[in-house]
Amino acid sequence: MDHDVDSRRDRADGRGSRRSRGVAAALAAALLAGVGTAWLTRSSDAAPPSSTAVLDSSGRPATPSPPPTSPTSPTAPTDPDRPTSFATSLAARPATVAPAAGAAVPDRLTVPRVGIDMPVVPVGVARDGEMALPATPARVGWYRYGARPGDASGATVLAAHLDMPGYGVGPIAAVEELRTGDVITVRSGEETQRYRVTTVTSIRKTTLDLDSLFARDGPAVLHVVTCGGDFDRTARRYDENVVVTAKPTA
Amino acid sequence: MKSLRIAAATALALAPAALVAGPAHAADATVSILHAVPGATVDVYANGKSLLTNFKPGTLTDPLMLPEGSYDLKVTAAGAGAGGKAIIEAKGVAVPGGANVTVVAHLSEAGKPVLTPFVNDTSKVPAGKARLTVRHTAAAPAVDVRANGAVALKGLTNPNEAKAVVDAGTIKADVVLAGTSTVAIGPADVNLKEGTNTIVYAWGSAADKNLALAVQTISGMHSAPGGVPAGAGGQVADEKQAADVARYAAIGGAAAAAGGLVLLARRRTADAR
Repeated sequence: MDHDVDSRRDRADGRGSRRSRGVAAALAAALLAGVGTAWLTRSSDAAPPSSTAVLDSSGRPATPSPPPTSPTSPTAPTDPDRPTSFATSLAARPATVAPAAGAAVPDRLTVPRVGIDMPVVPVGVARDGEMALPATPARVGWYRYGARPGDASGATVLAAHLDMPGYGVGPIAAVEELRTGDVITVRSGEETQRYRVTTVTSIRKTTLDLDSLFARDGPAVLHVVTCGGDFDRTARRYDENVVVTAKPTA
Repeated sequence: MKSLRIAAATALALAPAALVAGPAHAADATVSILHAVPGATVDVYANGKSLLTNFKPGTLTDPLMLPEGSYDLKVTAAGAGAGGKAIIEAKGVAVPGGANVTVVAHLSEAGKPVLTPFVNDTSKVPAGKARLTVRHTAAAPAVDVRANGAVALKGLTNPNEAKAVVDAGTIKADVVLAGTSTVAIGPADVNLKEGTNTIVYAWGSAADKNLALAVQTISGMHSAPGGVPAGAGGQVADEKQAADVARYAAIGGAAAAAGGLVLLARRRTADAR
């Protein structure tokens, strides 16, 4: 009985409604296939961007800047009831300045899991006040005025070009694939310092907290920096910095 | 009532520590003392209280926090006591609150021992630079200060200072009689450490042929560079864009193919019916 009713209904509705149901089914299939393809071709996630955004100037942890002093800490005045002395011991030293340190400087950056093995050279500040990087993406610059690997505090900053006209894509581009826990090694002459990645973040250059990136105090940390984001073809500049943060480990 | 008692107990627990530590005042000054009088080991008194004993020429104290105010300073021979004969006496030396000051015991141009307080510039220095301060505290006429042979600061007289922001690094410094190339002191290697105020003192006596340089370094005034420009080729951006285009094409193609297949299947079933 039902079967007859259905076939009569089909003939009554006519071709029009069958076509619209067909279109709907086709659209549903298309949507499913599109979403499926999109999901299959998605880029795999690196360590998730740091939600605390430690290098974001809008949200950085409050660290008071150190009061400018000579290297030793000041002696406080004692209780005024002590009759004759200002301080229990005020030391004096020869008024000379230490010559520039002869300690070994970083010379090699290695990140085994993603195949980075690059020479490192000390660099300073360019005429425009930005960090001066080696011209070739094949080499990494170490900011010579900041901390060295193995120092008790401060950020050791290593940076390399992501890409350059004529050269192409540099080896540092592989840091995009780094994950939390990956090992980074920095060699300085006979010494080697190992680090473990804690975060990989891409930050708009306008938001990047440079004082934190180049911190001279606070816990010892490694910052490996390159560029990312969108590229401005006129200015020949990227709009983001990719920053890998890593903590020293045994 | 209960909460008040708890609060009181907490306050008592904290109080002893507070008394022992002694609060630092915002109006304290950071004071260092430089002994730049040749030949005399001395004791130093401030407002009648001993500040320093057995202080040798050419030495600089660690920084000391002193409440702002006016101080009567007295320098005696070592062991002479608070009432001993003064080698140098300076009453009412002003120590400004919050300032970073070096009090220098030195010879005047005429060779008389005097005390001069200098306020140290602790303002920030651009990345890659250092502040060089030079103070003329010697019994000598006006001088020029040269860095690597070129005059950096000119016509400096006792007891004045001159300063400049320069590239960080080690310089060969010497001091010449003003307007001449007659070297009075040096040359000596001076490390102008990045982000510091490196203060060079000319001291001693030209007549006694013991002119020398003393150096004080104050750190903490560094600045970060203005950025890290790490990519000018754009090839990574190009690759990502090409990959995105391919991906959208694949999505679109897959959707079209799926939709087409469904329509085709339905037509076949319809035809078959």
